[in-house]
Amino acid sequence: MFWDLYLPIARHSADLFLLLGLGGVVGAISGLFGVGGGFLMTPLLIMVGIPPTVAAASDSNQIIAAATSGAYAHYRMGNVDLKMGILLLLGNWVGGTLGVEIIKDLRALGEASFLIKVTYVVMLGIVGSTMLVEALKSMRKKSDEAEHGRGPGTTPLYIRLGQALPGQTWFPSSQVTVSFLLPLALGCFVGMLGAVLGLGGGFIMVPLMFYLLRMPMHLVVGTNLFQEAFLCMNVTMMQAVTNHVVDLVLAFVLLVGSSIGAQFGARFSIKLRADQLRFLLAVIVLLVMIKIFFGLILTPQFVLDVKGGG
Amino acid sequence: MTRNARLRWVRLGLLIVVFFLGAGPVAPAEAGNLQLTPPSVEIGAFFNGAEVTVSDEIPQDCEAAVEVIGKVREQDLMRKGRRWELWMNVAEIDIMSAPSYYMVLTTAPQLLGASWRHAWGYQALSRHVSYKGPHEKTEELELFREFIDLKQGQGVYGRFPGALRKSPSKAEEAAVQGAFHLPSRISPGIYQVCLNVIKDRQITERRCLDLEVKMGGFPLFLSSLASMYAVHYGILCVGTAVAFGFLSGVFFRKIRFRSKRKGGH
Repeated sequence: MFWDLYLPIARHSADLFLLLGLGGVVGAISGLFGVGGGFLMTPLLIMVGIPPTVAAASDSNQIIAAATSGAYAHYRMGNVDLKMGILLLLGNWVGGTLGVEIIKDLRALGEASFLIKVTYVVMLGIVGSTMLVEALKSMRKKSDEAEHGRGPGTTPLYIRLGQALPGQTWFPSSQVTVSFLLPLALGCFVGMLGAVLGLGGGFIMVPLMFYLLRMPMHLVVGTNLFQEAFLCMNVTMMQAVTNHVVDLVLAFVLLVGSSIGAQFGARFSIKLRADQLRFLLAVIVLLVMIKIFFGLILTPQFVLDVKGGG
Repeated sequence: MTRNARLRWVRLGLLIVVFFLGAGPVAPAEAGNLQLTPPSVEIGAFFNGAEVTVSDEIPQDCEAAVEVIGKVREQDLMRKGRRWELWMNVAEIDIMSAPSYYMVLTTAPQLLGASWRHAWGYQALSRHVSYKGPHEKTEELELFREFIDLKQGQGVYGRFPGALRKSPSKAEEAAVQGAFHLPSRISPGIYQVCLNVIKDRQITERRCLDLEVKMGGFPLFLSSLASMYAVHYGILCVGTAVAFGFLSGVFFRKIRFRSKRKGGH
């Protein structure tokens, strides 16, 4: 049947409508919450039987489409800090390259899928619980200053540490002065995670840019999409050349689904308040984290598994 | 050279010619009437596994077991164990001499019973398989069971007692027919389909045919491109996504623009 689509790199067939549906649902969520959705897509693909390494690499590939389109739209509106974006990208490039090498070694050792799952649990746990706490605080109508800890005399430790770093640089678009080492290091960290987990890293990068780099929110979104597009291009190229795990058929079906879903999500997002959106996203993130966590603690169906994740 | 000697050389020459003419692409003699439908399987763009029917004739007083055997190769597996309350890979176990695919179908259910030693089925496989990696000799039976569980879960191993249908055909002959499934994750290659004719629990005859599973069309093009021209493939992946991103952006902007204009009027 035409809806049984054969994925030549995953060496597995999958239902066309299931993949379109997954793409659509994740696209709707990313349109609703303004995040890439990679943190949801890779675990969902693993759940439907796609080998973890293929799922992660193909997800990086499909993120490029939405990130490119979004970054270009934001650039035309002047919402991209190019200076900051290029520094983040340089860090990303180093981190992404390191991440692909790490995945290559871990696949050889047979530990790739375990590391992907553990990293997901840790990252989703931190991000989900932080967002949930913040959304609840916001719902109780606490002031923005109190939420961000920016009240007089309460400059957080991480800000003071950032200010102590050498190479303080003025970023005119964002109207902030931070050490150029900070975006380099953040880019490297997120790039590495992106390669290992198969995501653009938006859900980690956005809060880091807002809190650590102290960029205005409208520039955070545009600059994040800019760096995300290039990060995913680099990771996709590296995964295709080094590990041969990018499935173009899978990526294409997912990006068709997610492009359509994103439009519906974006339209529905107008009907919800910002704190309600954050609360919902936090709940989704934590549910995915719990699902993966149970996969790590419950007795697996098979005690033997294919080395390299299949 | 005498006339007799010349005749001997002519006869020898004729024999050589007949031998080489006869060595053309005919079915191997041991295949008998064994038939596969379809005779080969192609993995195309919409491949979701395939059903293959096997049929043959055996003596009325005999039973049959059909084995479908994939390429024998070393299989690198990881054994999971609990460490710090988490399930993770704890040891690498390489399974040697096990086929990548194995199905067995029999006419009589008891042919796959555990009561006696068979020359077919999982019992026979377990005698050929060996293990490399950290394990005790006493664990091997458990390892084999775990290996079978994994393979059955992947749909590449299976045992089907009584799944071969036996019906009378000609005098003293019975027709046997059964079907096995090739899952979508089957690897391209040659698979051997063998029919064992069994009498008094002994194999009296073994007829075999090769079943070719090959990748074709678009999947073949993409997987060859990905493995042989990885840089080109990477550029194709990135280029496709960028182009689609821009095109979908333009498309949805136009839709929004049109709906706004309609709303405005």
